[in-house]
Amino acid sequence: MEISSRKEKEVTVVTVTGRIDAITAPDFENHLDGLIGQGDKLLLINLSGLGYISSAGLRSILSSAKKLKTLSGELVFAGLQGPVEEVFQISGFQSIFKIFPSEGDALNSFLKDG
Amino acid sequence: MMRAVKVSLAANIVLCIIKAGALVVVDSIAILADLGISCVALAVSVILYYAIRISNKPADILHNYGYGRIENVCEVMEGVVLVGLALAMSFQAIMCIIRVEEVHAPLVGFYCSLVGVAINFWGSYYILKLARKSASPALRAEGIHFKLEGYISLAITVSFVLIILATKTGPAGVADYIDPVTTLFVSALIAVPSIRLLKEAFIKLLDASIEESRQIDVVKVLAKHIDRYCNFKDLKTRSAGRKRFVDLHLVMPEHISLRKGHEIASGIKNDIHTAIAESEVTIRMVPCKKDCAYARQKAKCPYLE
Repeated sequence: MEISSRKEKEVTVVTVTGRIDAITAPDFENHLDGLIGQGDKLLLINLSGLGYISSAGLRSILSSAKKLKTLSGELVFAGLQGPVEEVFQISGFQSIFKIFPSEGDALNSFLKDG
Repeated sequence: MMRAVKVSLAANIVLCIIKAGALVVVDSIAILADLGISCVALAVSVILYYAIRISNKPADILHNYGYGRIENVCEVMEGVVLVGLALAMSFQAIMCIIRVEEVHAPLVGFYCSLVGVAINFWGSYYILKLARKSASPALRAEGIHFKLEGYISLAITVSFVLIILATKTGPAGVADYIDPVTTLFVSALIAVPSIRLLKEAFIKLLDASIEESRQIDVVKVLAKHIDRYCNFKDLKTRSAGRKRFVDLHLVMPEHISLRKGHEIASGIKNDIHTAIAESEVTIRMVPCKKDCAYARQKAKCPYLE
């Protein structure tokens, strides 16, 4: 798994490629927690390059989302494809998180909401 | 489940009788090996019968988490026995290639093996169907065993056809090698899936986490109840036989009432029970550390409502 983040105005875009499984999920969660710890409240996770996510990855997302919620922050996703999109559907994540087709759509939505 | 085990017992008894009779008439190393498999399968079926009866017993003072793990032990035994048989058969086959012996009455061998094919594949289909329904690892191993026996009997059936054809049309002496070569092939046929079965069974005995699909079910339940708790942590899962154990810590507001906390934990527990058959869920409630933004801003905790 490779993970990187950058700032787009108030939004922190986190790009994840590879796979999030039981081995890489702790690194993913630590990265998100680090961003939340330094005060980033609007996180856009770009998963267009992610080929696989396991239940461990989903747990990390849920746990980080809960931490972000206490800061009145928001966690959204963009670029879900194939098996990752399917897992999000099966786990019910599509009903609790905002998911956008692309990073651009997600950023436009944040800007529109102000 | 007991019905599947009784079917397995009955099928193995019938197969042993047919193959013993065929061996007396045909004197084939392949049928001897096949009979050996059926005899061992019969012994394992007897053990499985008692194992399933024990695993069905409820948890008690001596086994607080129940007796389900005996099914995993049965699974390991099946794997060990099958691997051992493959090795023994290979050794016998090599000895028969060195000391070639003629096969008698191959037509009798053909018909007996054909009956064996039918019984084994039907038994496998029936037992695997019930194994899927009950999520029993021991029944699944037994179903796989029957399927392997089916392929073995099929290979032996084909070998008898080749023996008959080779005796009539082939060069002299070739027919005598078909039997041990088939046995070697059958050994390889059972060794590979048996090693895989053994490996999977051992992993389960070592308290491996439950299947990924069931773990996603747990996450789905936690997502469904996301607005009812502060956070969760230390999610652990394991399996013992058919039982799936799920343990987790639920972080709740410090001042939540015991009744309210219990209600929330029970809701999550019941939903996990519904999603995962034969699950035992333990939820430990942990008070929050009041280090969230709501506490720092002295805002009202949303989880106390």
